[in-house]
Amino acid sequence: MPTFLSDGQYLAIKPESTPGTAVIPTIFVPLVSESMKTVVNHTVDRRMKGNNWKGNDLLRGNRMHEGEIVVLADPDNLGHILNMVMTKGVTSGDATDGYTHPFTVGAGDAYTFEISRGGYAQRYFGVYVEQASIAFPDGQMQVTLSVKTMGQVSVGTLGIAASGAVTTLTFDDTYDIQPNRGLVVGDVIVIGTDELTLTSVDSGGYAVGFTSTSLTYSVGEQIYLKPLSVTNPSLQDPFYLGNCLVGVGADESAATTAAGARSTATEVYDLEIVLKNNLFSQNGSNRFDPVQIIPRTPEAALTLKRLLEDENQQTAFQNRTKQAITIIASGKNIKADFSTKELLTLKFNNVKLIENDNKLEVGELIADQQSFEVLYDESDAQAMDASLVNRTAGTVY
Amino acid sequence: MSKKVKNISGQRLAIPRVGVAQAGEIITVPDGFNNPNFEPVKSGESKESTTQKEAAPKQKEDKKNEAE
Repeated sequence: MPTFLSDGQYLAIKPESTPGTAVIPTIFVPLVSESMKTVVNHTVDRRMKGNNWKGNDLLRGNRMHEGEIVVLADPDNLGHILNMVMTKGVTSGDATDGYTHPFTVGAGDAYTFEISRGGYAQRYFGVYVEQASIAFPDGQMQVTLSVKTMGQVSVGTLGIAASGAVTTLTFDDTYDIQPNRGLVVGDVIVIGTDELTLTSVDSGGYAVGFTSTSLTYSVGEQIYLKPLSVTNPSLQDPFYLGNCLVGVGADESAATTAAGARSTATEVYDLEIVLKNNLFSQNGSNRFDPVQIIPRTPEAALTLKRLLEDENQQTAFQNRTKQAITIIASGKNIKADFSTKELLTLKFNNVKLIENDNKLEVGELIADQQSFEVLYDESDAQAMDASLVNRTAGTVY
Repeated sequence: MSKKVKNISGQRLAIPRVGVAQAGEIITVPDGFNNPNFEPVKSGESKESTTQKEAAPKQKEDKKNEAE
């Protein structure tokens, strides 16, 4: 019996041109962990039919596809993460200087995610980010994405027997009445010992086409999506907490100025940023899967730990005083003369303290342990924005 | 069995158990190689790169290991 080690698998992603319409992913993102799953909501068929047992079958329920993806945030994959959470503006720059991507509050792109699960690939399409949590375990920027998706395709069974030279296969409809949804022309599917490269995916929902191949398979034969062969681009280091400067000021301008130098930046010993999209994801008519996924009101929160220096932050907490925070994370130099580098800038224009704890613990320095709510700033006419300089052209997003 | 493919991703890619393919480079990969960053190359269409020649012995070694 074959066995499969997780380390040999992959997460591959790609933005979708049409949200909810799968594409073959080309971008491989090294995983820390994942917990994506399809919640099928099967229920026991409890209809009374003379049996002396709870049930004799399961019935289908509305499905959800969701879970968490954990990755280290290097400058290139962080671009995709921001592109899923925020609205990307026009990219400037070039390969020599690096590309600068601006992001503002707004709907992110839908993506296709594909995860190899050893023997087969599982493709999620219409993937949206419910929440992105940026933290620094071991001092490395790590992002936990909570995602919701519109569907998945992975394995299926043959619905109509195939014999002789055939150009189509028809999937069984036990799982879904559109079982070929999520497959794409160019995909390789495996049935028995045969691999077939798809040349068409029938809009009727059952059949897929390929060049004429001699096949003999009975109804019920298993079919699955063949995992891709992994190809890794030149991986950059993740952003590090040690290369972050956190500026705190009365407004965005003051905070950004403070984040401009080590001498003016605030030393923080723990930092977490949560960006949340509050997705509408609901089952209804049309499909067993979520019919559509739509971002609702966005929100964000910051938590950080800094040593207590004076009573200012406690006063700001009690008085609900507006502050602004700018976080600048630097990476490696991009241009040969070291004049440009990987750079993430997150600006929070109006933050107020939800919590500010000054706990006393034996032998410990007293700290401001702070939780900020990110608020909309009426003067700046925004709550936050982001900018990323990396080596990835804007056309990739 | 092996086949030739061309890196159409526009970037350098490392392929586990095969080697490295520069942008536009043609390399030899195992027959079951399945990746949209590469397109098949018909025989005689273009000369193979040196990188792929380095990769070939590695593939043979892997196959030998698999057989063992």
